[in-house]
Amino acid sequence: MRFDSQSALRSLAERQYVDTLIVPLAELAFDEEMVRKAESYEVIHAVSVETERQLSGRTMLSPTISYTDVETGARLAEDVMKKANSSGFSHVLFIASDIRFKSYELPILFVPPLALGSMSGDQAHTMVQNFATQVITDLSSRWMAT
Amino acid sequence: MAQNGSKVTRRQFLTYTLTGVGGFMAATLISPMVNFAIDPVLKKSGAGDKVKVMSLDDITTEPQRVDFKKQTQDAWYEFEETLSAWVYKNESGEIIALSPICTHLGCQVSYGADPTRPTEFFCPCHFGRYEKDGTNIPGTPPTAPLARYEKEEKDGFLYLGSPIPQK
Repeated sequence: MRFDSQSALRSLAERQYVDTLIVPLAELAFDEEMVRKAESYEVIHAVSVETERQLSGRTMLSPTISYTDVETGARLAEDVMKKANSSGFSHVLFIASDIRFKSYELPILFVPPLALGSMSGDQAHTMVQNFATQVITDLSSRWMAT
Repeated sequence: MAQNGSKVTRRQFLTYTLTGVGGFMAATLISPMVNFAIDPVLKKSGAGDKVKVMSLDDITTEPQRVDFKKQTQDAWYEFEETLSAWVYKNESGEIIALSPICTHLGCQVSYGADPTRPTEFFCPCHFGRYEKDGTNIPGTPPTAPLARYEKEEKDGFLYLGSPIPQK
């Protein structure tokens, strides 16, 4: 499910089935760091979209949380998680590449900030598939556990 | 009433001319309408655009997943859609291309994803199961079999079109 009106209606109707929220977490920068941040975002975005594509019946892809400093990012993430949990999403998974989040207690799956743009189409596709498979395996084991 | 050896009377002449002109005018009006009416038939269907996905030599009796991209148009918005198919040859040698979209809520199923049932398609979301030929297994969430792609074998390659829902 995507965060659009039609999917929202559908996911409310199928509440007992759509119980997982995927939230991309991306850092913003507009100076020389912008290229690196954009590269990270590309991977985060591609992996999140691919994960949702493969698991669209149980997951909803939230719009990306963007932040300029880690602390604010973590706080926003916690807010979103609380809100999601109280509204019936029993699982929330963040996708990020910023390892500074490791010091926070958030359910994050890290993807490396690779330069997808400099890879060939096939290579990039395989990379994204691999990371998405990791996310899917992670989610599956959470689902199996409940 | 015919004058000077002419075989056409004034009345006949007028009848012919008016019928002719009238007919012509009617035709100008009706022909575009006919065109509009049968337009859906004349229109080249998007389903006819098949995409080359793999070499026929690579197809085995074991289902394999192939990903391919297809130009899709949603109203004014045209985009490239990534699609997947599970392709294999059945016992009678026929090529089967199944859509991995679970008929329950649209997750993607995988062949043999559940290690205890290696010859079934398994949906990780709500544990839906399908036989190798795509038939949904009763007692699991899906209520319909997996869709099958329209397919064409040409010059040693497999081309896939749109997924057709099965009953």
